Amino acid sequence: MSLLEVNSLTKYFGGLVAVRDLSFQVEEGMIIGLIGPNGAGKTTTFNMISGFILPSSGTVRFKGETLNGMKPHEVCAFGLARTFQIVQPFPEITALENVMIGAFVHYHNTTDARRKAGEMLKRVGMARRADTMARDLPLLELKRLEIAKALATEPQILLLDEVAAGLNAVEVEEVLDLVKDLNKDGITFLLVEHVMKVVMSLSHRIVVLNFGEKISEGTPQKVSHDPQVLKAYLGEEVLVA
Amino acid sequence: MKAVDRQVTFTVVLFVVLLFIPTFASQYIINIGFMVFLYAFLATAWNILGGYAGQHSLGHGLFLGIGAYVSTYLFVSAGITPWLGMWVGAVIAGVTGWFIGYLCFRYGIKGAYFALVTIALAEAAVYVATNIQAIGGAGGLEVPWKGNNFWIMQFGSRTGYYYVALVAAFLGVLLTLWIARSRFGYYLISVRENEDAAEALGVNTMKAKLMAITLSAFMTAIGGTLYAQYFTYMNPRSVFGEGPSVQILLFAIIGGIGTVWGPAVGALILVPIAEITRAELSGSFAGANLLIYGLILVLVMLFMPKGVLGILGSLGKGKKNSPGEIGHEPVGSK
Ligand SMILES: Nc1ncnc2c1ncn2[C@@H]1O[C@H](COP(=O)(O)OP(=O)(O)OP(=O)(O)O)[C@@H](O)[C@H]1O
Ligand SMILES: [Mg+2]
Repeated sequence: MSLLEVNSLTKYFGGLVAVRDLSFQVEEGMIIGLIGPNGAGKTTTFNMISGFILPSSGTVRFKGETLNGMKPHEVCAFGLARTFQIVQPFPEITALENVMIGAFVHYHNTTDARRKAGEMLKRVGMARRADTMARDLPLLELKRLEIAKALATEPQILLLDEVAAGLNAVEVEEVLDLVKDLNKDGITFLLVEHVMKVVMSLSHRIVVLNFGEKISEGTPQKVSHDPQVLKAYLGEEVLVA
Repeated sequence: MKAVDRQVTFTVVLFVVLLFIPTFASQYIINIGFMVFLYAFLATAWNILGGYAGQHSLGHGLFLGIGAYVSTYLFVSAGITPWLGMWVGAVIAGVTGWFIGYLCFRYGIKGAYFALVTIALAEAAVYVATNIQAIGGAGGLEVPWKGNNFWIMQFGSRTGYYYVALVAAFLGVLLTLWIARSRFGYYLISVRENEDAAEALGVNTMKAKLMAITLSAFMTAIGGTLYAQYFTYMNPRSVFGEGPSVQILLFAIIGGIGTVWGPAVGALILVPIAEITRAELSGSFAGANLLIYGLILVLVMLFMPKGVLGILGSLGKGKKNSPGEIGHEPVGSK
């Protein structure tokens, strides 16, 4: 049984089909990439999995249980955490307090939550930023903070929506190394990326979306040579570095 | 942790000191003291919903009025002591708050729309109360004087009321201190700061907001009973109307919303000013206190947009980026 199973997921926004009949699975311990050009439906897929929007049809199963109709906070408490494409800090509190919000899922007392949050900040290399207000953090650190917040909820699977976007090459490497490390610690990942080369080196398998439909799935090697994929990305930047 | 314990100590010491004021102060000062504590308590109650949870109610007069009317009606019609009626009013207000919150939050009403709904409901209460003859209609209700008797919350001198309001304000601040250090408080702040992010991190935002509005309404109604006992008269507009609603929120804003002490500091600054201007200018220049409120509000918003305590708070908390530590990236994606 897979940790996460997406079955025939479909989402209409009025007349527009954002995601159509999408199915894929994420096995425990894997890093799966979900890629596709602009507007392919990647974020919409995340929103459906994490309970932020209801699918028009189809199901999401996590640990064998269906998530349909669960609120985002219930999905999170059940072990599935996500980050947002556009970083979503709590601006007027410190970095440590930001992470504490996530830690409270399992640590109800403030002292324990603070300790857990401190560990998570350290994990993402931001220990020295603990007392900085989130509004004062630069983008790279806000991205790390997003990961620390999600990690504090002790997820079994973490969905990252374009963590690499907006970062320079060195910063991208840093974030990807972090993902690799966390994966070694046993966290399963579903990574949304717009640019494939970011997830090429990292993903065990890649699912490619275009106009809401899955057009390819397989190893990075396989999908990067799939003519369908090359066509979808035509005119975009080079796929493989 | 330590800092908060210092705050508890400070609160207790301040409380004890304030207990002694009536032994030497004039009735005039004690009157101002009562008003400061009452409004500190009311603004503190508002602050839980408005300051911590970020849901700005402009209609807290609704809950104030429920507290005032319920305890007074029970006292007048059934001889039930306000000490008991106070809790009945608080429960009714709490349930009302929960219900309003449920409808608003269920349908995603927030920000300016939430403020408008709360104004409208308080205004509706004015008309409803005006049309219920059992509670005096437009003429209002009077609390009959039954003699100096602690058990019916009636005191021969202002000192008795002073103590009751002091205890209320003291407990309100202690409760806020507890909230500020608890998971509940952090959940309220997360809702205020970013609801989607809070949900994604496992916060039941609906429940947090409902608890905030219920608690806030409950406490405000208790303030309503104190108001009724002290002024011994209410009519629909004097409690449900926009006057008290705006005052409550003004004190909180000027002191600093979302801080433990802000509402109390706001009341401490504004109540004496209001009392003095009312006494000095009421004959020649009616409404001068409102003008002065307005002026102070404009000045505070211009120079201290987070309120008096917000300024002090941001001096002590939150290191800025020290340049050179890490490359400054524009926070482009937000
Ligand atoms: N709430 C919404 N209402 C209406 N249309 C929407 C909504 N959210 C997304 N869409 C549309 O659905 C399609 C898929 O959008 P989505 O955000 O899922 O794409 P994406 O793959 O994440 O793209 P990007 O790489 O730009 O982030 C787009 O055409 C988008 O305009
Ligand atoms: Mg997207």
